This record gives sequence, C-alpha cells and structure tokens, in this order.
Amino acid sequence: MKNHTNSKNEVALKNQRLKSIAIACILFFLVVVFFLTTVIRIGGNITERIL
Amino acid sequence: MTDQISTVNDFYSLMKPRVMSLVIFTALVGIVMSPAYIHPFTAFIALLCIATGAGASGVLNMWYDADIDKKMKRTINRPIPLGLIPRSEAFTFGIVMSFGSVFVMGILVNWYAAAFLAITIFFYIVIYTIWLKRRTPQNIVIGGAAGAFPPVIGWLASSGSLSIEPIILFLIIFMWTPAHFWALALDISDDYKKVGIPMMPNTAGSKSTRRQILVYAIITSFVALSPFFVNMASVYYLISILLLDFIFIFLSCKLYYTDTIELQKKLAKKLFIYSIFYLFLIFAILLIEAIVKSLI
Repeated sequence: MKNHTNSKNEVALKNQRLKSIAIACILFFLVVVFFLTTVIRIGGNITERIL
Repeated sequence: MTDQISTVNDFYSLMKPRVMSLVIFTALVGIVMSPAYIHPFTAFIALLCIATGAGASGVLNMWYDADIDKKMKRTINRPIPLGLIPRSEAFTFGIVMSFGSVFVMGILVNWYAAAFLAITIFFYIVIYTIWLKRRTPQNIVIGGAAGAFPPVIGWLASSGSLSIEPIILFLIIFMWTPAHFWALALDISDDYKKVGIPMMPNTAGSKSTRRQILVYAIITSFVALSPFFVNMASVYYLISILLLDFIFIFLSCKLYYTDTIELQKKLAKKLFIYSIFYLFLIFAILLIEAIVKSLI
C-alpha cells in the first residue's frame, strides 16, 4: 500500500515538473517572439543608425 | 490532488486540437489570399494567436459544459469529466489564454485582428455556449458565426481592412455549419436528448432536420461557387466545387429520402465526415490557387 502511494506521488511530481517545464518553455518562446517581432518591425538597420 | 494527476497532454486535449486544426487552416487561407504583404514571421504569430484563441474557446466551452459532458458518450472521455483537470483550473487556463492571445495579436500583429479575435472568443463562449446552446435549436446556426470568423481574422491580420473576399470565406463556413453539425446531431441525437440540449433532431424531429440539412447544403453549394464570380478563384476551382457540391447535395438528398432510422444514422455519419472533407477541399483549392497566383 505504501509503495503504491509512493509511486502515485512520484507520478504526480513528474507530471507537475513537466507542466512547469512546459510553462517555462512557453514563456521563453514568448520572449523570443517579442524580441524577433521588434527586430522585424524596426528593421535590421537599427544597429547601423547614427547615435 | 486531482490537478497533480493531469499531464501537459490533458491540457492540450482540453484545447480541442481537431477543431483548432481546421481553424488554423481556414485562417491561413485568409492570410494567404489577402493581397497585402505580411512578413512570414508576423503571419506565423497571427496564426499562433488565432490557434491559441480557438484553443481558449475550446477550454472555456469544456469548462462551462462539464455537467453535460460527463453524461454524453461522445464527451465523457474529456479531461474534466474524467476528473483529470479541475473545472477551476480549466477556467483559469482558458481565461489566461483568451486574454493572452488577444493582447499578443494586438501588440505584435494589429488591433483590428485582435478585436475580431476577441469578438470570436466572446461569441463562442457567451453567445453560443452560455446563451444559445441550451435554449434554442437554432444554437448552431447563430453560433456557427464563431467558427466562420478565423479566415476573416487571418485576412485582417494581413491587410488590416475588410473587403468582399473575407466576407465570402465567412459565409461559406457560416452556411456550411448547420448541415455539418445537424448531421452529427442526427447520429448522436439520443446523447443530446439525455442531457436536454435542444438540438434540431430532438425538437423538430428527424424529418424536419433532414429537410433543413438539404436546404443548407444547397445554400452552401451556391455560396461555395461565389469565389469564382468575384474573381477570387479560377475556372478550375469552379469545376472542382461543382463536383464537390454535387456529392454534398446528393448525400443530403439521400439522407432526406431515407426512412429507416438505422440507415439514417449511418448516412448522417457519412455526411458529417464528407462535410469536413468538403470544407477542407474548398479552402485547400483556394489556398493552392492563391499560392500559384502569387508565384506567377
């Protein structure tokens, strides 16, 4: 019975960890998307502008 | 504890991935057919936002309909009735995705497309799911507008303005929805009856539903021809659609004139599957023609 509870907890923990990783990946993806869209909108020449 | 049993996959299936795929596809056609230039990356973001918005609508629909989903054979295996995801968690997930998709669309693509995406989500959840679905057999006729908006959003994401073309794309899906959905409702009318949803076969009877399916199939067939007459598509499109229309009307006619219930259910299922194939092909031909036109 104890073993069964332990394995259930392990599965639950593994699922929780995977969900956390998924959220982290989505947030990272959003950061990349916002960065790339900014570059596309402003244009590559922004780095060559006169300061 | 239930929320810890749920996996990433459960959340994914909560978003109705099959419905989402058709939404993405029709939105893509809207983007490609638009004459305005859109950077491929921006187009990708627009599609992502539309997909997320559609997914959010699916999640909120399952959140609201959890009580009937657990009683219907077709929906009993969804994550909420199975107890894998708590309703409250599904609600939060749906709301976050709804607002997220609209704001990302607004900031990164344009606010016209974002406004239409917001209207679509609102229409599907509030007008269709909460208001109409349990009250009137016309639920799917009016609610069908939500499923017809994606190509319009795609067009708006690309061009930022409306014209006759996206309205025709909207009308094709809008007119197609009743025949498509009532074919399914005929097949599983007992399921809907059990939970008290006033679907057409349960309120107006099988004969009346079959007649209305035929009427909507004929209307859809005419609307599907219209892209040719407004110079959106070529004569190849016209010929293909005439053939597809013929099969669509033929199956609807056959369903209308069939008397035995068992055979009706069998034909209804066949019509339901064909209707998906029919809509997919209409948009696929339009997409191919738009791509070829842009290459020439």
